Amino acid sequence: MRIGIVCPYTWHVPGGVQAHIRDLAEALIREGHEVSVLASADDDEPLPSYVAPAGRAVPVRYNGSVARLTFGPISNSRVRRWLRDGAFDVLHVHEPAAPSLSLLACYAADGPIVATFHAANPRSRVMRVMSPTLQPALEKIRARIAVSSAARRTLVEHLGGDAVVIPNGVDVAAFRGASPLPGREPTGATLGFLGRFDEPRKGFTVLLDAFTVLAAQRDDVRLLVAGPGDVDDVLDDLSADVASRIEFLGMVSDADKVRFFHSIDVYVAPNVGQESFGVILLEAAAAGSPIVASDLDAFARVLEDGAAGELFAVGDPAALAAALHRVLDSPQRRAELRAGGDVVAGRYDWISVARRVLEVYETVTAGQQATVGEDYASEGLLARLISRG
Amino acid sequence: MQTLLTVLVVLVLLAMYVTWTAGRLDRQHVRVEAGRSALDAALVRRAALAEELADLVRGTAPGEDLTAVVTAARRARAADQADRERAENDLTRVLRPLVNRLTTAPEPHGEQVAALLGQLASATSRIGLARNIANGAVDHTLALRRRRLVRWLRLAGRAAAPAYFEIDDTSLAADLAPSARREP
Repeated sequence: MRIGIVCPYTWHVPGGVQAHIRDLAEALIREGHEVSVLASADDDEPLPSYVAPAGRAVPVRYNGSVARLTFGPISNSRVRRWLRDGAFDVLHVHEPAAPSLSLLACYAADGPIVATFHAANPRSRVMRVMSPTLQPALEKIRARIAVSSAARRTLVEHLGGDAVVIPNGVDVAAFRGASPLPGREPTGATLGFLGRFDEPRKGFTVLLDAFTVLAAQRDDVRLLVAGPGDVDDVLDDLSADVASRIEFLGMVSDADKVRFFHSIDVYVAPNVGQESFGVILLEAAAAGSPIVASDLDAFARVLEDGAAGELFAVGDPAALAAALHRVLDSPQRRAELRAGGDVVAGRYDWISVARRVLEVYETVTAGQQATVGEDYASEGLLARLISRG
Repeated sequence: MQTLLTVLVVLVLLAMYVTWTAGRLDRQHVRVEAGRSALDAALVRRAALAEELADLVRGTAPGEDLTAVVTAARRARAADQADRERAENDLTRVLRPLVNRLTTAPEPHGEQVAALLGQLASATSRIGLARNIANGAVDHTLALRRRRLVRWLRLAGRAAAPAYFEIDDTSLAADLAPSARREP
């Protein structure tokens, strides 16, 4: 199948959508399909062979953060040229509700179009206000995918219609069989936390309270923290004994993240809310770390109601401490959790996810010979006069 | 002179808008057709697999009465548009006890049955997907057809208003979940 994918954000800026598109594209290529990804990027940047640059992006505020977007007549003509040259069987745009390359591609293309919606934002004013003007572009989309049920709800509430939920995948192989970080072998009771620890919704304070309780009862527990945040703020409130058992690694590279999971005995996800999908849990599971996580809806679903991770009442340090005791005391329970994690990680491996996306492609192209073409009606009178002039 | 020019410009713009809207509507009708045919293909595949499964089980366990499954599968494939939803639901209803018995049976039913159940699981999940996509197309088409401009100028022409396709495909998909996991 010839597949054209549009990435709305700058390729080299790290982000969830970019990573999703990279992993999906590579999985589809491994499955034997031809893939071209159109993304905003400078022409002279080093890019993977499957990425076609669409020019530089401009920063725009969207969805609470600054997104770098590509929009305008030059991008438009590049989108159209890419569509013409690609002759795709299916066009897959990501996050088309933002003014971006993806929206341009929707206006420009005609034929089997699939869209993936990533944002989970219950109060997106941009989406609500833009909705009527987006309709002509969005109604061309034959199938809609949401990466989580929260993303699906956002979509249904703001734009109407429905979507199929196909979650993010993990590159399971990349997380297996790494060695621990140098000098940080797991001690048998090393807990791990990964993320921006000063962000309240990550629930790091819940973990700290539980850890303080645990440290008073067990001599062996340690805590390894990877991720950015203000360390002094955290240490100020702790006793010297507790503080001495916590180690902060700061921001870690992707490679060190994998090794981090191999340096710990239990991964703790104490998040207190707004987690649409627990990618981090899948990564921990893929690396073989037993998981203890708060029982948020999203987490309970990914962890199959406790089969792949010990769940505790969200926001409750005593419940977390009890759960940690259970897991640390029982090698058998840890083995069970590891085995459960293995099954879950396999289910969310990118190859499995890519196959589900392919099913969507096959359904929208079923019985059609036509490839994705250009929609001349949307080209605009002015542009037509100029280009044919 | 100037008024004439203004009127002309307005008329041209209006004509462009009407043409563009007609194009949008036309595209939606094409989309509905495509959605329908994909859904039809998925349903036909399920019916074929159901019949195959009944034949296979009858071969290994003679005496079992599977005529209901075979009849329902044939009826589903032959049903016309008006009757389709009911015929497909009938097939689901007679297929579920058989599937349940096979997936929960203590003695293994052999590789052929397991493979067929796996195929049936993927065919059933395809139906859910195709139905979601087909109904999405119906949504957008009906929204466009309700617009005043479209109604007044009868832009939809003689094309019949598309209908949603509602059947119960989730219960069978849930029954088949253990088989789906085994499929590579």
